[in-house]
Amino acid sequence: MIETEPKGQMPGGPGGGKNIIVIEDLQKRFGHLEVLKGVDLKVDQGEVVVVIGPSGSGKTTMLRCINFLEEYNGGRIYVDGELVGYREKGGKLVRRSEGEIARMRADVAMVFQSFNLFPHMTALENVALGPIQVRKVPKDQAYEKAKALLARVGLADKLDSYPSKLSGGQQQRVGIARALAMEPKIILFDEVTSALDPELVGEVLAVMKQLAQSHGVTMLVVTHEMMFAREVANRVVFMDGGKVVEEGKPEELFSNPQTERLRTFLKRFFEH
Amino acid sequence: MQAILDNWPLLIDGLVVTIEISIYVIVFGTLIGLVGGLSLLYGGSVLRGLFRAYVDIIRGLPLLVTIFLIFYGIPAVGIPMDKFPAAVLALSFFAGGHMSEIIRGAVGSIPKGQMDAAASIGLTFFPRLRYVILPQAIRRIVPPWVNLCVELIKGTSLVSLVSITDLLLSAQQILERTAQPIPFYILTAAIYFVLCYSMATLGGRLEKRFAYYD
Amino acid sequence: MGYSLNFNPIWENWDKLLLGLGLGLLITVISLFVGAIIGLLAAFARTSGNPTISRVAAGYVEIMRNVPFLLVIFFVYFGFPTLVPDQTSSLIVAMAIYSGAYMTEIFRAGILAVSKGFLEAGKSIGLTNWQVIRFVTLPIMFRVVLPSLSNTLIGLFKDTSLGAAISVPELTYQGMVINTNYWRIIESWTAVGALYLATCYSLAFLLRRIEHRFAQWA
Repeated sequence: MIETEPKGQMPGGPGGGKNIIVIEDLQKRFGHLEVLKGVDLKVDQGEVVVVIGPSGSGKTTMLRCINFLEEYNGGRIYVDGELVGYREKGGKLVRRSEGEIARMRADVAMVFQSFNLFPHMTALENVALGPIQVRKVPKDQAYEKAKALLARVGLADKLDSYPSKLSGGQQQRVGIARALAMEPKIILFDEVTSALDPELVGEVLAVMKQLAQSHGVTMLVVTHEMMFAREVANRVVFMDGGKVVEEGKPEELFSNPQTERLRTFLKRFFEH
Repeated sequence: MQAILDNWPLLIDGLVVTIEISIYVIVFGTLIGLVGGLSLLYGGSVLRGLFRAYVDIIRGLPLLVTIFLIFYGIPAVGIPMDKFPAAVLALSFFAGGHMSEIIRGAVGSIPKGQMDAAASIGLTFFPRLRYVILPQAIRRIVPPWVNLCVELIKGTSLVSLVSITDLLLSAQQILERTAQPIPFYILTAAIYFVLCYSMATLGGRLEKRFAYYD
Repeated sequence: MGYSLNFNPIWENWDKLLLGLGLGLLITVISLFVGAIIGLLAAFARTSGNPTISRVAAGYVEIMRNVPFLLVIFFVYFGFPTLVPDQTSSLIVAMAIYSGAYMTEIFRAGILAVSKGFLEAGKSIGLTNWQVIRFVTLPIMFRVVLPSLSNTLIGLFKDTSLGAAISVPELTYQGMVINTNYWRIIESWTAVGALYLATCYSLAFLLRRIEHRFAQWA
């Protein structure tokens, strides 16, 4: 059974009620293509929020704006009260320094669709790199912690394996361990099972389910796995055409969609 | 045969000069190449433009012309410089241009996701290069780097045309006295062969050392 | 020379520079042609399956790759005064021998790129070995090696500059002559350099257009 690890969350309150992420009217263009046309979203501490929607709806872009892997053109994103990527100076937005951006990124962990494990490092080294170089944790401590995390995701026997020797599901679990190692305020999951062979999807979803049920980790998950959303999410958000169209509890959203677009999306989805 | 034995020390002196110049040029060239390659990839438009012009000019010029331009040009504008440093400067200029392309190609071929992952755990720019990107790029840098080093070692022979007594010029000076071109040139060729082949072998070992994963 | 630039000697001798450039191009083309024949033969030797011939060809390639081109030029020019009478032919011979080695590797890659299936298809319709080479291997190989050959051609053109060491009147040598007569170092080498740059990039552009034309056959 996974133990709760509520570190990295806000000090003081035991959780609940505090907005970890606040997104207001988020806009993002790629050249002439408007991908985000005013997204509003809030995520509370400890919540598991699942974002669904057709491709091109901007889900991944929104995620990448939260940890400033993409710069946004309009609106505001706040992580734990701090404005992401910019400082407000007299009503204008001024880009933060590299150091500040890096510091904020350390508190927002991401798990990628294409894993992006560092191929020249073992699983253990992949997980320990962040704590050692960014959190300045002493090496032995970092490796101990990394060992524990890899055991937690079921890879205790793969500590010294290089990513090329691991299956897709195993690599993704290392990716999750790498995210956990930073003790982040929130973990962003960017379609983390979409690139996996079907038989490997289950092991990754199982790990994510355990994380969600441990009630310590705030999770924002972009996925196509509707079953996962139904079983695990506290709240489901439906995005389409660069905006949030509908959101609500999974039971309500799936059985009683309010908007036409969500109805069409769900129909197409469950027809397959 | 006797002629070879008599003039052996002169040949060795020349060889030493060739090796010296080669080492300087390889080191300087690699340093310039690192700065150049990374600037071409990650620098602002001014930096990128400067290095782009530098690389494109060097790649369009023969080495000999580059040497003449710098070797004779610098004293001509009034800056005094000894022969040896001028030659090293000229060759390093050449080396740096080609090296920049090699590094740009290798580092640029690392998938973007690696930079994303490194950034997402909170690493700033230089630590990203140091811990994630460069360790992966070095595997792709070594083979063309070794080829360039061999070309540079061979290129040092051009300094014989500006009266620097390297291996080739020593051989020619000896030839003026002994007048047996074929055996002497074969001997000189053999010495160059040993130099270059060693470099290539070293390169092979380096390649293996960096291929410790997959 | 001071800091006052005076390009007059350059303009006055512009025709000599262009003649040198033309000679350089001519030498390049001839050497490329001869070198390609040598390279092709050596490449077939390397892929023939006969260990002795293969090793001899491999030895030839290794030697040329580890020896400076200038040395090869001197070897040919000073070593065989009766066989190669003048400077220009010495340069062409040296260049053909030297570049032949590099082209061996290029052609070898090309030969290996022609998969067995094509050869078997050719043989199965009754073509002799020579006919297979002529109608199957060479055409396919040609498209594969074109980019590398383009690079080689431009490299050869730059290497013609070494002919100046034995007074071949190509572009670099003409630059040296202007220097000896007028001592306008910066101007002359800048002009020579500009001519090389212009020629190399024009060649590259032309060759890429040719590559595109042939790539349509794929």
